[in-house]
Amino acid sequence: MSLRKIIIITLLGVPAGALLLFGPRRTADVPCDRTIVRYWESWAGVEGRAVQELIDEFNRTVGAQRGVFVQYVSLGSMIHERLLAACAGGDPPDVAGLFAFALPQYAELGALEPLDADLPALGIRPTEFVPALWQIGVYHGRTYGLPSTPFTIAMYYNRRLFRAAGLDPDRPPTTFDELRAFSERLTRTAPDGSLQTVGFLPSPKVLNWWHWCWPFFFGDPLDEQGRYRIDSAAGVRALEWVASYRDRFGAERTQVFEQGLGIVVEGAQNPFMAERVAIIHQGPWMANFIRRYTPDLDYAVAAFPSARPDGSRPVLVCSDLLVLPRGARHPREARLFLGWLMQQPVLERLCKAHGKISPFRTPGPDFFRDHPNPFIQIHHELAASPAAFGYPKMPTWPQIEHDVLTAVNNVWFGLGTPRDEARAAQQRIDAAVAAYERLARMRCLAPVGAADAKASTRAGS
Amino acid sequence: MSRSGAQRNQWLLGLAWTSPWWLGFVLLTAGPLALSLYLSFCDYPLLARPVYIGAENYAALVQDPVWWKALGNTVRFAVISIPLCSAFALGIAWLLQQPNRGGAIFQALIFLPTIVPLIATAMIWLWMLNGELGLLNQVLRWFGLRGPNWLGDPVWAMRALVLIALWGVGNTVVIYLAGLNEVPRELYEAAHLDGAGAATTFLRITLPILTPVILFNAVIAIIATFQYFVIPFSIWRATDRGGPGRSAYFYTSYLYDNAFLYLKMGYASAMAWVQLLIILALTGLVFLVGRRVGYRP
Amino acid sequence: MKTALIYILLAVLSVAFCAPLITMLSTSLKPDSELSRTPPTLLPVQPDPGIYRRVLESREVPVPLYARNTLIITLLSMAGTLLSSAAVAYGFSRIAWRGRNVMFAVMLATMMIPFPVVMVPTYVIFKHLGWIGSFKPLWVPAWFGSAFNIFLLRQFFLTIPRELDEAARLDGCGTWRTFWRIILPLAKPALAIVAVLHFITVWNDFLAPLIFLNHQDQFTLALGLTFYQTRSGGTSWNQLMAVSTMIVAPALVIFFVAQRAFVRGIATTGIKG
Repeated sequence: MSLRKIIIITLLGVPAGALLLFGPRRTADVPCDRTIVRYWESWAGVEGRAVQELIDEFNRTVGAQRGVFVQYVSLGSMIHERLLAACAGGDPPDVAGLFAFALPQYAELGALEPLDADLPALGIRPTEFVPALWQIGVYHGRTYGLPSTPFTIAMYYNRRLFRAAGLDPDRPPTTFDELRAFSERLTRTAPDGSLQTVGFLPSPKVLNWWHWCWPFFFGDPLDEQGRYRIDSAAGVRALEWVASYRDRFGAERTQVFEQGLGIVVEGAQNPFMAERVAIIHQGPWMANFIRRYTPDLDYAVAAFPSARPDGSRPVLVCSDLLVLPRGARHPREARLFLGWLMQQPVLERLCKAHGKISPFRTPGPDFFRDHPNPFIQIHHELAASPAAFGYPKMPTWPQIEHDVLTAVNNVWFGLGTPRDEARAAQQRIDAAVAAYERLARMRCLAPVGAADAKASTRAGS
Repeated sequence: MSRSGAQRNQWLLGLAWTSPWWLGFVLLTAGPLALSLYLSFCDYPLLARPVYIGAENYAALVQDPVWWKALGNTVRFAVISIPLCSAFALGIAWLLQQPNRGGAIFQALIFLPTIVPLIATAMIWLWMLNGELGLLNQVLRWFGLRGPNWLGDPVWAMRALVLIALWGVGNTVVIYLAGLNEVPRELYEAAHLDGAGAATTFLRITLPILTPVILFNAVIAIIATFQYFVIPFSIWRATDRGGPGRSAYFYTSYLYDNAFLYLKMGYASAMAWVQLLIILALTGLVFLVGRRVGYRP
Repeated sequence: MKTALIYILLAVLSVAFCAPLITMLSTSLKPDSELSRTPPTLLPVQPDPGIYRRVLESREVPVPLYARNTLIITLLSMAGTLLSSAAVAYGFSRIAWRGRNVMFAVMLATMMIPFPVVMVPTYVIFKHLGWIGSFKPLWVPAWFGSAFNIFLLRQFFLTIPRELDEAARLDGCGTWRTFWRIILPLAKPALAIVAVLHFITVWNDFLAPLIFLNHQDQFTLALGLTFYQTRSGGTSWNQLMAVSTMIVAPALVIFFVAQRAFVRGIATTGIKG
């Protein structure tokens, strides 16, 4: 009994007591004479440190002069829920980072401050930005979000595998036909018939996070009102294209192949880094993973091929957005900070630290120099593509994205034909959109203006 | 003291003892609960005021194939995993009760998985169940078996989740174990003297005395299954929501998506209240069965 | 023979139950270079305990600070739930009064409503109380008892023979003394379980701290865990698993301490006494 007591006290009591009595307390000291601007973001770790350094600088300089102190809170991937709870509870932060897909929801429900009137005073000139990137934060012609750390999705391909397959590593595929032909040559089969290396697979499992984007590579899946349609010609062709890859390699064989791929994306088991897949559709952070886990990988980056008849190169552009939630406590001070952060030299430091592209048309003189991604200039140039596209700006988008994912998955698993799946998914989408619009009318929200919705969805044109 | 006076005293006494709970209920829980009931009759996109729309959410629910799919998956998971886990846990508890030495170590090892944070659990299993590199399939290969694509195959996804659930029965085991130890030794001795076999003893003595504990576990398991979501959510978040063919898309996954992604909090609330009715019905059934077989000393 | 069989079965089960945790521990000791090995190694070839040092010294996720926060919340919450849940369970199981079953059913029903749909109204209540951004939303509710714990304790109280209460009453004990002197000592195993399970729940919860806390310095360990997955810098698997291991360790110790209580029930304390 006494022995047990001693064990309890030493194992639990002593460390716990020590921690309670002598443990660290709050680390940040907030000056009490300043207005505190709450800034919430999803960036943690290295990314969080980069933004914290900038904020420290603001607090030391402009903030100190003007009596403003920015308090950065990193909420990780759960920021979405936290921000919703805070906004719904009437207690939003002064500045927040918002995922681009959520902008239409927030904007339509009046949860964000429109920024257009403030831009001149903040010294922000929209013309200095890459149009496609600036448009990400625009909804129905009004600016609600500012692009903080944008990126474009490109083709990452393995030069070593290209050479091994007798392909010129300096001439990546440019059309979907070439993509197919190259992929065939890059594919290696083991003696037992199983797939060892694959050129390219449109499976949702092989790092294809943007399963909904394929229709853009075949044409335009948006209708006159800027609404995404999976049953459009482009949508059906994209699903048929997905099915054709499955048929070509065999459903059974592709599944066995997928089985061997690490589901874990950020590690050397990543199929691209493990050299199991030669061509992928991915973003600039790939360079961070590669440098960390497989620094010797010989790869390059180019625009993803296209199946559009006019040969234009569709590019998915996206960005985290800086927004000012409506009803925050210190809107004036928040704008002061926003204006400071959006200065080109300041913001580009952040973009560079995060391995992203610059939202500005002409990046600063040393932006590309010693950028962590050696191909960042290509990523940046892609943002200017006339066929650049972003998340379709629909308040029902998250639901649509899930329905499209189900369709792509079902096609990939052979659970349905492309046409049937497109029709079934579109029916669900139509129902969701109709229900939303009926309720929106009831709430007297601004009706969806056809013309400017299209304009703002089609970024950069 | 008059009879009604005694009753009144008992009533006051009962209220006094349970006061922490009902005070908390009135102050913290009742409001949000009532509000969520009201919201289930509203369109409520979180960022704007709720608008009353009548029973529309409930009507839409019945016609929603995804809701049926999620409900079906959840019920299937419940039907497979609850009996399996209960029997497994009871079996382990019985085993653990047997040895005199080393029991504590075994107990701790079996309880260990319950302590692991759910996010870490999901990550660990992502590694374990990987089709080619995963530990589980490597072990199966030693026995000459080709393991399935646990997490990528629509059929195997559900079985993989049942496996993960079996791995996490530690807390149920502990509850059963405590229950088993409540059974007075004299009863066993008496049964032994009467010449009852092990099976008879278990059925006639152990099981009836354990009834309240088994009831507890059954009810908790039903509730937990309907709120099951963190594990599938973390496993399939990176690739596809709900797993292949939405085969691992659960009730709460859909509720969560409706609430926080589609911003249909009214719809999510309707889902929650239908869920409450389903669980209440099942719980009532469990208690009814429990009363029939229950043991009252 | 039978004993040997039981031991073998237990050993096999234990190994199966431990394997994923060994994966966790071994991953936490693998240097970056080894994480990328295909196929992954079972045990680290060159274990690097430096990972733990780096995790402890990290500025982004200050583990000691978060451990202290978690400890404060967990202790306050545990003390509250043990006291009040036991009392409420006593009222629900050993005292006969009208409306008891109805109220018990209502209590059970509160467990069945998922958190997401009451999250926003709850947030609003805490906001009006001025509790958002403090630890209060995380531990004060525990002092009103938690439905799960009350339910569990009630079920255990039900297994205690009624005669004990009668005897106590004849000896002139009031309900309070019966509760304190007879029921609680007999229910030690159940109380130990409540303590352990509640500890684990609070220790590992990340949704409530996420929603109700406001500042980095107030966060808890489980919440800190989510920050090891950055969006474009990659996840530090070894660090993530190292923190997980550190989170698991105290819970394991608690369990070892408490389990002595729940293997000794009535069987050994003896009711004839």
